[in-house]
Amino acid sequence: MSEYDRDDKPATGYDETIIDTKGVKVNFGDFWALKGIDISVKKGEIIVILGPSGSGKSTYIRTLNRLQPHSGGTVVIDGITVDDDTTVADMKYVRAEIGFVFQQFNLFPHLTIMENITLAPMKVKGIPKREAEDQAMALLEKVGIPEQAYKYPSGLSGGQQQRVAIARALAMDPKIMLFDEPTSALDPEMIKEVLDVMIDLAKEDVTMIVVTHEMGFAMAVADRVILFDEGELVEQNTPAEFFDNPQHKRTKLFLEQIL
Amino acid sequence: MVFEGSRGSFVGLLPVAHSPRDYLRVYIAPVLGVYLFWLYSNKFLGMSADYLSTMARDITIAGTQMNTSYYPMERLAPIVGGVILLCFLLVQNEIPAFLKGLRRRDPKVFSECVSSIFAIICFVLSYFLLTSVLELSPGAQVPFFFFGGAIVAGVLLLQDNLGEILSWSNIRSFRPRENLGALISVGSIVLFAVLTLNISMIPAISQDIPFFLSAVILITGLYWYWRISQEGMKPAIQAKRTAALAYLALLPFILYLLLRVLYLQHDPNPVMQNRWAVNFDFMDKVNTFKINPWPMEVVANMDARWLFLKAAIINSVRVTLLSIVLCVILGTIVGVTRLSSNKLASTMATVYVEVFRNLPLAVLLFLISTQFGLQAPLFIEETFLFGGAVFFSNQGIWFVTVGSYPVLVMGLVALALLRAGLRHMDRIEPRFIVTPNTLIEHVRRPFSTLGWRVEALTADISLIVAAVVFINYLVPFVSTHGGGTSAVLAMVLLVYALSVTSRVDDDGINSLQIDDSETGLRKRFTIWVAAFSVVAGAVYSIGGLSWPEYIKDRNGDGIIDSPGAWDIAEGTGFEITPFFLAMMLGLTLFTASTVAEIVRGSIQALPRGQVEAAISVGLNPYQRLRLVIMPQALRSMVPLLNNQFMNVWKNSSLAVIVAYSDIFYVVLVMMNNVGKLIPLFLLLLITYQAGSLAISVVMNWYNSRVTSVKI
Amino acid sequence: MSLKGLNMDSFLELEESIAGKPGGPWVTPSNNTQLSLLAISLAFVCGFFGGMWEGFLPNGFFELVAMAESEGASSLNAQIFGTISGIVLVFAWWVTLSILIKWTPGKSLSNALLGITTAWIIVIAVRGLSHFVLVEADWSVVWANRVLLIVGQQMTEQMTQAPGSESCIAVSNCYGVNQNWRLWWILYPSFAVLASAYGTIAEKPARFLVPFTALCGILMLVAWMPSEINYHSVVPITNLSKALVVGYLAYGASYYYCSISEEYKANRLRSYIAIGAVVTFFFAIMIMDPPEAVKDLAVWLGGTPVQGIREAIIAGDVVPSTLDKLAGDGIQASQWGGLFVNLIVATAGCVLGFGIGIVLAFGRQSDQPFFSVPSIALIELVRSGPLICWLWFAVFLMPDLMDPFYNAEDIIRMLLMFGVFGGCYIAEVLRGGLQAVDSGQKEAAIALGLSPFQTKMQVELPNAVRTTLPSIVSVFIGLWKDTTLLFIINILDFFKLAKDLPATDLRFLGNFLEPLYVTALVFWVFAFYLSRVSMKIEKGLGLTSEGGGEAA
Repeated sequence: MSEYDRDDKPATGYDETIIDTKGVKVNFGDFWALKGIDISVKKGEIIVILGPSGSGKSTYIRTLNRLQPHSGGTVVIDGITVDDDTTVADMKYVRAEIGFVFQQFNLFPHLTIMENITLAPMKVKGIPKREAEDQAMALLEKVGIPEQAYKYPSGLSGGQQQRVAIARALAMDPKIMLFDEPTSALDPEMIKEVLDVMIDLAKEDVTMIVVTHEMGFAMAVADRVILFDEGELVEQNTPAEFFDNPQHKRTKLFLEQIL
Repeated sequence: MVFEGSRGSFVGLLPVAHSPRDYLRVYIAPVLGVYLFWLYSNKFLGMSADYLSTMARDITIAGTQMNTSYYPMERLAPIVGGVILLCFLLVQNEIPAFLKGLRRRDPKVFSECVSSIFAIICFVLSYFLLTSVLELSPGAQVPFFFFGGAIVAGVLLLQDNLGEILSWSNIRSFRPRENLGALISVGSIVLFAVLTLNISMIPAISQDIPFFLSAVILITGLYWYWRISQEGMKPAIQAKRTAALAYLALLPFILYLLLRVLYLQHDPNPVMQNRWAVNFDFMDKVNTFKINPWPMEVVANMDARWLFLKAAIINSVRVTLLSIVLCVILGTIVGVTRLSSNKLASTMATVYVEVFRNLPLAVLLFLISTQFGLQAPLFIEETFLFGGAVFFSNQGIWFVTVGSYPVLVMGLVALALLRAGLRHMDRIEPRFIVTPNTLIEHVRRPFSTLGWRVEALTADISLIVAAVVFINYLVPFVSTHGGGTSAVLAMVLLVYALSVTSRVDDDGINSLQIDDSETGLRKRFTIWVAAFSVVAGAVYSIGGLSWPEYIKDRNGDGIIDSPGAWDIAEGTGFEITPFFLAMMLGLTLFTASTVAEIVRGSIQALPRGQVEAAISVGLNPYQRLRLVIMPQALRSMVPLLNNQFMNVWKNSSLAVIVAYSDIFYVVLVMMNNVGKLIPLFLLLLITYQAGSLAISVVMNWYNSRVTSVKI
Repeated sequence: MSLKGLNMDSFLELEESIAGKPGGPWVTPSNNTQLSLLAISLAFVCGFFGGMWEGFLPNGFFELVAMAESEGASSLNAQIFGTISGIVLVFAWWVTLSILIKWTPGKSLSNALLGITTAWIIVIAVRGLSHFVLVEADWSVVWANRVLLIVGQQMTEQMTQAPGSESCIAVSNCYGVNQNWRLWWILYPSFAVLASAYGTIAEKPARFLVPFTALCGILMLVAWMPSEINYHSVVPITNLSKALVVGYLAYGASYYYCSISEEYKANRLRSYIAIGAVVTFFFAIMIMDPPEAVKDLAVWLGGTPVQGIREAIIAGDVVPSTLDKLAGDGIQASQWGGLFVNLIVATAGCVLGFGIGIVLAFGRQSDQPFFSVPSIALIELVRSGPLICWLWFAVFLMPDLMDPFYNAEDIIRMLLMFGVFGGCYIAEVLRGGLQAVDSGQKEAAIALGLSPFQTKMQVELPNAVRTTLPSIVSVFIGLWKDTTLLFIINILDFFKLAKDLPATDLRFLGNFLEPLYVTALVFWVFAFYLSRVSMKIEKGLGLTSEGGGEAA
């Protein structure tokens, strides 16, 4: 199981929409976390999602790889509709295409860094061990910590762990990288090293959706900035327009509170 | 096409191996697995087919059934069909949705559960067909029908399209070429029916049914295993198909177990049949061996086995209850001592815990009973201790006891009334009175109309009355052969009274202002000491004491009997047999070590700040323990103690080592006498489970009272 | 003066914690030490000479020795008894006199009472126990049968009446071929696994090597003692030395490997050692009663079955080679006995139980009722009855179900039953562990694309096992202690053989208690050792919480 065939699928060009979500709703009982989100992301775009806590930002990006099932609307990733009827193989494909970086890193504590990174390529894609380890070393060098390869996550600092988490997500060669508040659980002095890795990543043609509070990052690399509030999409614009010319009242309120 | 589209699947058609371990995993293991499965399936289906044929064969000559293993189809069909139906419903997993739909009175629920309803209809239909319409040959058709039916059920589960097929719209627009799956499902049912009826014409199948059926299972299994590995279906369906595949693979084993048990119940060998047939008539007959029960007397060769069982249960229960009480006391003392600052005492406590925790209970019991038997003085040595209060011998220990038990009960009632009275004097008006509105609430608080003050007092007194009534009806229950119904009613009354008092407490009526200061404590202490002495004096003077009387001359004719006939007079003193003593000592010492660890752990797990705060507020050690430490420690202790108490109950089964007549010992001897192993084994399991449940219920109730405040 | 001062201070602290704070008004900090010394000297006097004046004080050292000798104890035993009792007596006198002289009840009554009661309880207990052990008891009943207790009837006969032993002088009274080479073959890998497991713990080598050498030394001593010996002591001693060397090598190799490698390699070694333990278990069963295939293989490789050439071996013409021995008849499971049976059954319970427990735990939390309903039913059913009930079921009812396809012997059925029973308890333990796994872990695994089965095996199970390992070890300890229940089914394990010795061994009729105490000691030692291991694991995992709460 070392190759995977995609020859029955059209390739997405540069301007192709890779994520297309229409009217996505999510509810927990009577509480509606998302009330109908329409977002369309092109291949290679960098999106930053801002918003107060509880506005549904994390819930939204978790619906993209179905960590959170949606209760209404459609989610289409790379041409594949993600819903109750998606086949197991398609779901695996979608999840391999999407790399997810959690706020709490969620590294596997009983495995070494190397094993953390090579687990998914070996088990899901069937890549042989030697190849997977070479790939993992290359990724560790990319995120800047090749010497930690054989340590356990408990021996690393928060910033190092998050960088490993990014490497682990990149190991599956994803087209889309989702970041759920990647620096919120870090001490301030470690935020920079993680953001540097993310900025380097942004220079490649990976589509990124980042939920964060780091405005500097948004202003530096984002192609689009989106504001969520109370489960609704309030405003989306280029960074320059968003920060200098906010259109909506809630956007202005939000910017006043944080800047 | 039949397959749902699989896009970009990571699974190629033929697996690729990279290393020797991969070759092993990917090529050798599957081949080996298929071979082993073939052997297993053939063997088990073969044995099942033999049993089924034997059981279905009706050899009636001149009106009598010559085949001892015969089961009429009226019994065979529902049992075997029922098990298959049960497996089908479990895999199909529509029952929970069905029940939820029923609760919501949703009419659409039936369309969601079509497959299950179809299965039930098939079951009923086949019952009618088999019992009234068809005469299937026991050699070939009966096994083929049942086993083939089970396999068809498996195929239908795997196909997972019964719901589609049976909906009206699909039946109308049926197109064979597009709907291959539906064709296979319907076709398999039709093929199965045709084969069953005509199997005698196909000797290739009827000669070796297990072979044919195993081949069918193997082919279906392999095909679906490959399909599932293609992962071309949604996750819920994949999980269900995996369960269906497991059902198909386990089918030979399930059928074997079922048919073997059925066969054993009608085994031609009478010993086996005796063992496995489930009927309890023998329990009404007379028991032939004697046991040592107390307080109920059962006589061998006169009383029924049920009564012996009851006496044995009473024996087990009393040793369990006493051990539980003692091990809690001892365990708490040892556990708290372990935390003491006196190094000697804490080391001793640690030594006790370490020694007894690691000893096997069986060895400990045997040791205690042997040691006691060897070292205790002989009966004829007349060893009285404490001035005649205790008679100590290797045949038992006799204590001095109260002369009249009813007087003792009255004394205890007096003390309980005193407590109720003291509580009543401490009562103040609650800030918030909850009044009952609905009927149920009125039932739970029957005295609410009397006003808060009187209600609480009445609730307390009613509890005391209920307890007295319960004791009054419990005593004849455990000492005579009957009295079951009145004891149960009395227990219901007691439970009701308990629930009334706890409801009164929960609703806030019990607002007490207890003086916990030093003077208050001292005052309460003196009141209780005085009360105890008064009651003790009253009981002693009215009822007297019963000292163990050593009789050397039984018939009172002035001639001393031979030493073998010397005895303690009946009714004097209170006897503890050496068996009971050994059992109780062993259980208590063994369990107390674990309880000590639990107590110590719970107290140590308290945040240090709690104790420091208590000290800084100025509480003395006793107040600290009672008001701050124990309430919090109890919360973590109670679930762990629940487990330990259930262990005490189950460990009481080791009484066979010390020859104490508990449930297991009595049932074991009955099994040796009567040979009815399965019925007695079921009784054993039921009794132990009932006891565990009772302990759980009580401990859970106590747990809810202890954790009623959320920390 | 400072060093002596330090000792004196800690001694005074100890005294205060045991006897309580000084309460008498005549005690000042300056004469505190002198009062203590006074108490000690008086205690020595009472301890040595007590009892010499009629009925005045409890018997002191000299009196006790005289008493013991008059009861028939050997001079050495009497001296030891006297010393032990004397020491404890002096201690108790010291506590009592300290309390009296310094009048501690004035300041801390409860402490003083606690101290006095415990001290004298210790005196009674120690004196009684040592009196029993040294004076009353005749340990030869156990000593003479030590081989029987360890390996059971059949192996003992094979050993003591085999070619080479002294009782085998002619063909007529030679019973069989010495089969205890099988035990040594089991001992070597067991020691290797044990030693290498210890080697992976980065502690000072002495902490393992010293107790290990002491253990082997004691075993060798036991094997060598010439009294009541019915076998050639050279063989056990050489084999034990070989086992000792194997242990050293295994320990050294794994210790060295772990010290030069990264932690993850050490973890990998640990998992290999665990697999090695399981393999050793199956190897042990296989070597005791080799299946036909193995015997045929040995014949094919050139061996001749030993029972065929028995006379030649007795005559001394032929020395059987390893292949000959391997090709010979094994020892059937029904003929195993002694401590060996307890060990095998307990290990089976652990190994099989762990596997069954994992399957049941996952079945229980599955969302398919076809898996969860039978799992819950089985777990609740097995846990509702006491083990003795299920063992009885395994002996009397299970054969009816199993015989058509697997005609097993009693001991094999016991193994299976212990496995199922242990499995149900481990499943309950694992259930808690699986629920406690951080949901973020599972989400990360899902987000990477791992299937639910892969998530369970790769992420949830290792975490659950790690957190619940102490509880799993306590289930193992419980299984070990429960192997004593085998005697009820008339399986000749250590406990049954020991307690039947007074009845079966005609030389020692009536010595009821000694075998029981030895049994209790043997089982206690193993259980205590396992509980220490569990405590060490708990500390290693950082799971112990030391909060607060001194309540006394």
